[in-house]
Amino acid sequence: MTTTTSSAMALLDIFVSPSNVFNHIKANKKWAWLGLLLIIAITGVSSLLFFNGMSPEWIVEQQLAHAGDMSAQEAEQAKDAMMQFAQYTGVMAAVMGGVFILIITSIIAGYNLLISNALAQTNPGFKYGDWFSFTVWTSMPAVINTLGFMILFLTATTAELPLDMANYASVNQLMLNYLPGDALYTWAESLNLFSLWSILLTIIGFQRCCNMSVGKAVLAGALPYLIIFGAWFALV
Amino acid sequence: MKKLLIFILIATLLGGMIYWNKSKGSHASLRISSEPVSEQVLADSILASGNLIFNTQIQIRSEVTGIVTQVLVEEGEYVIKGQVLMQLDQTAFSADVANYQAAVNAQKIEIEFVTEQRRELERQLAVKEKLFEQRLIGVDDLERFKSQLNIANIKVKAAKEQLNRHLASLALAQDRRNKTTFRANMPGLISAVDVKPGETVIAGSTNIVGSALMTLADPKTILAELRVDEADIASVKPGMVVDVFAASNPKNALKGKVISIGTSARSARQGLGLFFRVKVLLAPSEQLYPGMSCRAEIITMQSEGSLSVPISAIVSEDDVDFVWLVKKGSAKKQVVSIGMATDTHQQVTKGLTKDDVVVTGPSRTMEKIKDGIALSNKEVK
Repeated sequence: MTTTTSSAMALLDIFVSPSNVFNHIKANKKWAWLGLLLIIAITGVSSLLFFNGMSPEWIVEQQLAHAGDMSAQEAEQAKDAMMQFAQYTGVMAAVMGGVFILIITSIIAGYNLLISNALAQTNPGFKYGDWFSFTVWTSMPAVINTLGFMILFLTATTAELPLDMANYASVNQLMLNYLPGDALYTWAESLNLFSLWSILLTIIGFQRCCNMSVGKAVLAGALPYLIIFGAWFALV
Repeated sequence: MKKLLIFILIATLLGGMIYWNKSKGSHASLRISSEPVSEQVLADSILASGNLIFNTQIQIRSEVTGIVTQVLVEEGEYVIKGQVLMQLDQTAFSADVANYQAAVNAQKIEIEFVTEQRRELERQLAVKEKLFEQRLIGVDDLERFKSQLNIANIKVKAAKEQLNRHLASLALAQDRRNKTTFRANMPGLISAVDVKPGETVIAGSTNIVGSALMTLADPKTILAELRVDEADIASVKPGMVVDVFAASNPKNALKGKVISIGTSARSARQGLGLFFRVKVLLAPSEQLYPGMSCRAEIITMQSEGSLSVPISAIVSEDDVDFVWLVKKGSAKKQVVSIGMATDTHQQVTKGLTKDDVVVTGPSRTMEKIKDGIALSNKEVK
């Protein structure tokens, strides 16, 4: 077994040898900042590039196509409102994406702190900051996801691409093929293979850091997704 | 080495997903709504509103002023011709008649008197003429007698004319008295009674319309009197078929025909709009009452049974009309010739058959359709 000795190496190891990263979380907490920065940066850059070539009319058209059924009058009003901000969609998506990542990471870190206290075999003595670092590392598959997305839209023949291209790794686009307007469309678009990868990393992390059994680690890692997607599925 | 293999695996999976996504994108189908071509009769119509009225309707008004003593019919009652409907107080009118009758009688006596005077003068004149022949009286006396006889003749004539005057006055008084009794001048329905015993009715004059007392109508035929907007009136012609929907039964159309079109515009009670009165004769029907409000569709144009498609299926580009046909799950452009249109459907005179299915929407998706592109049905109506 090799040892992760730098933040740059950690960025690679989290994909190919995640146990090494989780073994050094407490000692090298600051490395996670680089990971967080990378996620936010690549999300921001991809948003800016993706929307850069699109015309405002196309962006509004795409947003309306996903807005569900509405009357012609409502659609016209929504179109007018959207047109005012359509040219800033890339910047807004980049900023909001970064904020969203910070919020979600913070919430999941809090959840990890609570669930580890409840289920840990051996308490690692992690504070919130450690769990934040842990959560950043488990979110790193998002970088690969975004890289794939960038390859997709940068190699496309036209700049005016459908907005749901960002979910190219969703179970919907890979298997289910629901269409906008279908009840399960948004649900299936949100369920992403890279999320499963993140769950897998979380399970490995819990096993490494808290010495949890496989069953407990799977439960702790998958519980938020099970609750969110289970309830969502039940509601639609 | 292990790390390298995992890295290669990740890269391969990512590449596979990208490839899958790209290849899927080139075969994506558009989700559309479609509808089969239908054969139906299309009608273009003008909407109007109005009220129902009886075809023949008489408003009974008074020609004399007086107090109502009796109202002998009720609203909704059927009456026969000549039936007494209402009575005014006759006291004053009867007194007038008696007065003029007395004048007539007095004049007749006067005529007898002057006639007798003349006869006496005639007798005296005959005596005077014999005396003149015997030269017992002069010419002057004879001529004075002749003059007196002429005056007597004139008095008789004047008395007779005076009698005629009194007779005319008597007839007038009798007529006025007769007008205190109101009779039905045709068989029909009393559709409105707007007077009660004890009320005073006012006679109409040149500038004042007298009190409307009752409405007598022929209930066999009912008209819809429609208010048609000035912008639509040019399309309305006598004989056009009209579907009338009475307010009491808004789902059942009553068939009617335009029988008259107003020739001058009238101003609406509200707003600045002008309308024309159009009368529609309705087919006999029960449960229709005058005054009911109604709405109507005047059929200005009607197609024979012909092929039609929803109006949203017609696409126009550079003055060429076409539809998108759904053929074995793919789109096929079909140029068509169109005829008349309603609010929802368009008549197609050329280019389609009864078995065709056309794309009707959504409009955003229709803009993306190209010949041969795969289509999947959102909803087949």
